[in-house]
Amino acid sequence: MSQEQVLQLTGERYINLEKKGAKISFVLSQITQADWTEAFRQMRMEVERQGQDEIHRNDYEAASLALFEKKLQRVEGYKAKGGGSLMDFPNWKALIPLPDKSAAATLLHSVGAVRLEDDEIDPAGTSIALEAFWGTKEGEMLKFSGLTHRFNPPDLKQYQRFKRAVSESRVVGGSRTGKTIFAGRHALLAELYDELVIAVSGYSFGAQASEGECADVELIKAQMDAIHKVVAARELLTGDAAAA
Amino acid sequence: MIDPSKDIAGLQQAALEYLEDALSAPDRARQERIAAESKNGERVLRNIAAKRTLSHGYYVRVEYLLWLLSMIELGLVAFLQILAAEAEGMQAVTLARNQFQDEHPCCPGCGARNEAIAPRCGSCKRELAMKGAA
Repeated sequence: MSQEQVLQLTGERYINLEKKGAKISFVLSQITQADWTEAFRQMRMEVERQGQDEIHRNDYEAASLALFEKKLQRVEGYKAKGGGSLMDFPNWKALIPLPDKSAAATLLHSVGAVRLEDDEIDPAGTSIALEAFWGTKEGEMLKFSGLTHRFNPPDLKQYQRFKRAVSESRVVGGSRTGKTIFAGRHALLAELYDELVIAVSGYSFGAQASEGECADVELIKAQMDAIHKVVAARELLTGDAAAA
Repeated sequence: MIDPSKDIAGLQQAALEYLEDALSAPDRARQERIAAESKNGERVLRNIAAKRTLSHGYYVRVEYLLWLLSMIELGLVAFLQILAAEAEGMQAVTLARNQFQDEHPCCPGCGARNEAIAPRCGSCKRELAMKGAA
């Protein structure tokens, strides 16, 4: 990532796909914390025992798809039969092929933590590095790999809240044969992120874009993409940073 | 719908199985390496799979209760707020841990856990006093 390529968090969000040589762009309005919170409520994981096998299922995709459809404002690149644009039809959202919607919805949370080689403890805060795919107006999906989040260390109570949430589950159909259902921990992780974040770099917040590191915590809490919050907080609490 | 945090008897059983799993983990890892190179590896893997009889959520809860116990043992309890279900769960896990420690005493030489009836330590090969022996 060059220095001027920072991830623009505010404004419309583009998700760009290439299908049989044609470029498809989905344009979404900014996904707010409230939108993500609603999606997080739908996300859960199930683990079922069948004999000696353990089967894992999750509802993340359906929740992401619902969020994607809710925020989708327009689509560019599809051709309708007989000419014209897909957008000319009142049910244009329903006409988009499901595999395309599913691929685009998956890209909403294509962000992951990057292992930092630096083992030294920084008294100014623990840094977590992320990389993410994010669409541009020009029809590309760029990989941003200089996204850094700096945190205060979590205290024991915050760690307990996380551990307690992780240990909560329900068993349906009997303890020996049933499946365990885990509700998503995303909302709690986003909450812990807001409590612990000190600064971020690699992001731009629209008109309030800052050079280098942004230490405006209120701005970060309001504008940071919630999936980035979740992944960074999870890495802080469970990754190498937590073990340090 | 069962909430594992409220099923105290289930938690005690899960804790015992969890500790037994942890004890046999190095041996299982060794057998897994052998299975990877063996022709009937899949069958071998089935035989050495962790012996767990309860739904997955029980073991996740046990991990948390063991963590909570360790925090209390470190004297950090003053910082933590304990719920009734956690206190009861920790009691169940403690009972399971006591039973496990009784069935797998530590070698006085190297500290490794062994079967109570083992004549020698599996790790340092030191001769062990049989439980109940004069």
